[in-house]
Amino acid sequence: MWGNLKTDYTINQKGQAILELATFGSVLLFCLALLIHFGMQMNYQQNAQMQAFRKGQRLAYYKQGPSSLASLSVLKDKPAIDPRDRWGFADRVTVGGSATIAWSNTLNGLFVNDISETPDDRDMSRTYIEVNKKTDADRAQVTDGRGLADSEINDNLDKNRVGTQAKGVFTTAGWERVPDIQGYSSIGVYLEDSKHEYGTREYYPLEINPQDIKVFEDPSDPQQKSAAYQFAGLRRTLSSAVLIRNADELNKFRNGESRPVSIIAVKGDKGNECDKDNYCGKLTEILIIKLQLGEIDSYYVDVRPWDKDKSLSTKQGLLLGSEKKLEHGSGTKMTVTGTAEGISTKTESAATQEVIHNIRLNNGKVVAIPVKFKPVETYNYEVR
Amino acid sequence: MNKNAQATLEFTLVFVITLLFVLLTVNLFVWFNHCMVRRQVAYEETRSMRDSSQVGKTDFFQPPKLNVFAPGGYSDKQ
Repeated sequence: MWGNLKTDYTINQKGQAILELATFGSVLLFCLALLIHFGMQMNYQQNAQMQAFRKGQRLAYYKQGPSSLASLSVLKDKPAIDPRDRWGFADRVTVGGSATIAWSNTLNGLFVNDISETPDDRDMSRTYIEVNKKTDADRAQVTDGRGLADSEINDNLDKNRVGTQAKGVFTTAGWERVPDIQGYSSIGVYLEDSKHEYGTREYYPLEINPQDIKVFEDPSDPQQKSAAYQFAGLRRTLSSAVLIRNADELNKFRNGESRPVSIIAVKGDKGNECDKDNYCGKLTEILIIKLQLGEIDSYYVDVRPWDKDKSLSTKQGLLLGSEKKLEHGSGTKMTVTGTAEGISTKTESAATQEVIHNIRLNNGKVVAIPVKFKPVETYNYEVR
Repeated sequence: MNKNAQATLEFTLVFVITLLFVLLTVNLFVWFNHCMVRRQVAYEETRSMRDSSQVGKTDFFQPPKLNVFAPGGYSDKQ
């Protein structure tokens, strides 16, 4: 009545593995398609964000003037595999990025009210390197006499941190006073062509007689003075210039090979005795930014693993690898307290650990930032 | 028909196919990672702070041609 069960069962085993492959294979393909979709979208998104920043940078750079601001958003609909799509139809996924770019010749500069004052490091642009970050509320600012803040001493966020005196603040630029501007043969200015929004950079060099550069004060703030020259019927502010002394420097400037200096403060030959038209005389002295005088460049980068084989003499910034030291101190002790209710134990350790991170400055000197930690764990047990 | 070792034979076939599938998938995702990492490196190395001629440079990276049969997902090393 029931037949030969063994035989019937054997017949149904044909092609079992292939059948399962077909069934589960489709599920596998579905999962694979989802993962590919994710991977492709990540790549497209990263590319879109980078493209948005670079295009915004180009927009900001090619505008005429000492500083400019540009915002750009980029949206792209890229085809990406999606297993939920119908056969033969590649749906599109939207990726995008946006960027706001501020371009200025004086971002690395410092703010001074008067050319006669001596800037100190508190006015300088600085790079902060945070090691074992803490909250702002817990930070205690300690100056080292130069106006630069040392790292925090009191630490409520990490109770086990003893504190560090390491300096994690470095200047990114210095300044220099340039007197006797009238002694230069000419002052060079590179004017960008504002008609070009995309594409190659178009500029032309303009030579100005130092006698034609005038200093004016700001009527609303007489301490603020700026230098200006006339060109094409407009008064233009001199914010960056090439100082030319001889024929060689002039040729270099005309070939577009000179690098302009950024001007922070100016002084006219009338000093502060400006007339009623806010005219303070011809340009005699300027303060300029000197990037080489900074302790660390503003684009310092971490030294990457694949840089190990290359010479590190030109690399600056946070160096890979930290040194660790462990001091056991008086060791570990356990206190056992026995009462009528039970026994309790308390374990305490006097060991401290010190972690030292190294930062290389642009003069090749390596600055160590040591951070000390108290022991972390105390184990308390109670048996009642 | 000799049905001896039928399951073993089919298992071997499926196992080889599955391994090939996994290997090709791994190569594909290594290629994805390679693109993302190298794109980031190329992006940072073309920063305009290092070289003013790089301002607005958008063609800083070309992904290598995908080849899932090659180790790493691509045959021309970049």
